[in-house]
Amino acid sequence: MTDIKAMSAISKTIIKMTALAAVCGLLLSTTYVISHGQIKANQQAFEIRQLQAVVGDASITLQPAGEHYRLLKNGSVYGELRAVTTPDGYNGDIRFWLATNMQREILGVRVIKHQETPGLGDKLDLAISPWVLDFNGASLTNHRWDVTKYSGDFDQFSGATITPRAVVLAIAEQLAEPALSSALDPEPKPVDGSQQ
Amino acid sequence: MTPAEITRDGLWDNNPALVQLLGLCPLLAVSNTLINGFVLGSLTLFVLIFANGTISLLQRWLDDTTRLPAQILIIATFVTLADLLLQFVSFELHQRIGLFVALIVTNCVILGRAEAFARKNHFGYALLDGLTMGSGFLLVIVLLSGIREALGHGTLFAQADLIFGETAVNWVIQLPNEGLLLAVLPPGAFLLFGLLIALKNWIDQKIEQRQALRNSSTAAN
Repeated sequence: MTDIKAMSAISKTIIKMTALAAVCGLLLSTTYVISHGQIKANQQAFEIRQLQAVVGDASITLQPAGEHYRLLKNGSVYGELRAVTTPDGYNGDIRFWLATNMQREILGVRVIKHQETPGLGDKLDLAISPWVLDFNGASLTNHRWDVTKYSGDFDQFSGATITPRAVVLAIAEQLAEPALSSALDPEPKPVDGSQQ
Repeated sequence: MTPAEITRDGLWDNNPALVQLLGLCPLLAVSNTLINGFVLGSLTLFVLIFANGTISLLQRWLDDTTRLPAQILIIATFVTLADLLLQFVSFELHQRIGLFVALIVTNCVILGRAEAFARKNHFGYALLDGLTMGSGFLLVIVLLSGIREALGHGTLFAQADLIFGETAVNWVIQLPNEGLLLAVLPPGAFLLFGLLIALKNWIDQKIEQRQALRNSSTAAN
């Protein structure tokens, strides 16, 4: 007798919770379906805005080319935005964006992912230190590509040489390479931040 | 409880932040700029009103075994809705405070009001309680984040355009003071919040003294 009673209480609980979960799930999935398109557009616009800040020129539009971007100005190829990863940091990979024009001069550098020591190596981050802005306008010919300790032109951070040196050398290596072939054959249809 | 008492309770006497000391994690973490604080406070208010309302409507239907899981499920649903809403309105702001939006689920103010009030009161009262408790939280987080932004960054309403659109770009008020780093860092949040609590208690004490004085003078008559 009590068994039946307990069983019915359990099944009642199960039914109630399932019903409630179904209603909540329905509400959420409806909202998701309605808002998904706009959220996706917001996200793309946000990412493009972030990358636009690396290039530092609002008149340049970005066009995806694999994991890199082609930079277009007035419809013609202006340069490239390259995703670079270097394993030579103090702790793990350092990932950054490198924007260059066709003369292989730097338009901007932004470190997007690193695990360097907080307080020492994290000056890579523009939110913490303006160090990455030193690269603006630099090219292989107008700078010596190392940190000052190794008689280069770029500052190391006090207490941390490995981290900035990894970035400086990785950039020099990229500049020595030719422009991405994908940047040279533009297709029409530029992507810009004004699509929402 | 009368509607007036519920209102007084939420905004002052039993203020969720200053008196109940609930929801301190988001309160202290997100109150670094006025806009961040305002948005998180508003989303908390939104969740609190809807969760309170729904839980009040379902009070007869829920029994002791289903009550708590059901309440959490309802709160989590509205938090997810608030999260989608924020991504819909401003993705950039979501990038900055999104982590704390999801954490509204664990904000004890909300489950606290569901348990202590919404599940045993009429729908209208539960809504009013959500509105006033949420507003009480919103007021405190806005006050704290305003003070922190003014002291820490020397600005007010910075980046209001993230939520109010292009017209709000010019809302930024530049104050004459330099930024004081301490105010932006977590210890500054604790110190300033402590001062706010002290201020509230001081005002309460003053009111009490005045009342006692009035009582004794009427007694003397």
